[in-house]
Amino acid sequence: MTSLAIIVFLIVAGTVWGGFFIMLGIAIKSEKKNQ
Amino acid sequence: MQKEEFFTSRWGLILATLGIAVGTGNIWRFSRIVAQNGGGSFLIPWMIFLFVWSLPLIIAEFAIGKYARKGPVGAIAKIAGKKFTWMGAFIAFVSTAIMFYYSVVTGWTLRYLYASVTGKIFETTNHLKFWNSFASGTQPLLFHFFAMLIGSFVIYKGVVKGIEKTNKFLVSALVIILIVILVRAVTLPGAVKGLNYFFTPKLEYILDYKVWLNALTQNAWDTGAGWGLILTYAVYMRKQEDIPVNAALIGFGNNSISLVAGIIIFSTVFSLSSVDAMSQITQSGPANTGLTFIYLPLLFSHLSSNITVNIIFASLFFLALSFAAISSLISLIELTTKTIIDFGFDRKKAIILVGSLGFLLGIPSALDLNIFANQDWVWGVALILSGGFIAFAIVKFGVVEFRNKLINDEYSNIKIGKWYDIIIKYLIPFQAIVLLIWWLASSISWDSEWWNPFHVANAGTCFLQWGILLLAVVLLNKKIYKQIFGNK
Repeated sequence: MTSLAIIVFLIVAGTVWGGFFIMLGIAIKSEKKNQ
Repeated sequence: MQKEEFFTSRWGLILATLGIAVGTGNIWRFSRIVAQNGGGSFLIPWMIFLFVWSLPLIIAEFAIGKYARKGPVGAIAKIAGKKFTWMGAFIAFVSTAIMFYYSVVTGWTLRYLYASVTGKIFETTNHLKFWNSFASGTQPLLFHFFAMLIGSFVIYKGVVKGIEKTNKFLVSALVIILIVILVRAVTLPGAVKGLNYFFTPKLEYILDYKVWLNALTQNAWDTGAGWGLILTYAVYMRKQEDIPVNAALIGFGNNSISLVAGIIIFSTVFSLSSVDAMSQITQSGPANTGLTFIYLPLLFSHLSSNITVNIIFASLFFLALSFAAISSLISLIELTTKTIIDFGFDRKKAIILVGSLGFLLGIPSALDLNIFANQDWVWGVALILSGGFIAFAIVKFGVVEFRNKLINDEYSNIKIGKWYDIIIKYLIPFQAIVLLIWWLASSISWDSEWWNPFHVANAGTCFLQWGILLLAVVLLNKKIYKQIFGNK
């Protein structure tokens, strides 16, 4: 992949996938706390 | 008095709501729109609109449903006031009209799954002819019937045994299947050409306002935000459920799956296409089905010299597509069923009514692709109005009070800041107005008789069908309210 494509991949996938896993982490932590 | 049902866990709620958001639009529309709008150039605005359209509306729907504990009609009346019950009725009708033809789409995916599993899809080299002989016959009707039957059966089983249990399986299986196909797709020789196109931005496209409007449209149509569907599932969320984090999981999760689907499609098409890959990926084909039902089966036949391998991957792809379609169809059926339940029916009677009407009113779209395309156009564009109506209802309720009491309640894992007020009060209505004007004005460029209401896709047919609907719901406003709330 070209370096420009890699940068865009990191930004987009980082935001979308990163956002998902951060939120998932918060949800799991909160569920554990509530148990 | 009917027994109230709630999702049994947070994960049940999240997977069910992800089932709404993840549909065929993630798999077949997303890749085509990315290709038509300059690849990587599209991804940047697409990501931005996730934050200024989809996420705020998903949060809003969760909060409205959890607070009102009614389907869209009763919920909007409770939030915006008695006078605006018609807005909720408009939202409910638009999603119901989409259900009629979405069941036909679900039927197509089931037909192609059957053709893949049996290997019949590879008995021809002319896939356009294969599609045409299927679409012009009576088979779409049969598969539309199966789709409505499956969807109605799930809703008949109820919230926990039907919606929650089915979506837990469908969404989990969908993610696993997509990951398996993803691994194969990115390891195909030449896949990197597709990835380069998918992720490389071009300045001229980033500066083109149409790319931005297409990115907003993709978010409006593909996340399910503003349709009233998430609002309907939120009716069944437990009191102690958080809203902001759950909503963010749906928005990010939906776009994550679109991204995976995009990587799969671009890698596969660029790797296996013997002719111009771009011309194949951007072709709309009949009723925008070209890429999925005509070109991908052709490409799957070139995947390996071993036919069994090709059958396995084609079957997995259409299985994923069928699961995405069924999970979304279930939510559309539930929205209509819940609306009828709010009118005083019990769930079993309501689902028999919705299932039968859904099948009957989907028949024209199953038998005639022009009617299908007309309905897809009219009610697809109307969804933008639905999103605007939800924002309006919150403004009527009081944006600050809505955020402080309904979203940031004692159970929320994170607090939503004042930025939310600005988005709901100004940005959502602005985006809805701009998008609506753009789509209707665009129809002038492809139809010189843009005012003619009997053409397939133009402003005239929207004005006629929306006009009839708006007139009916406004005139019946008081009666609808009374039917749900009595004389309160």
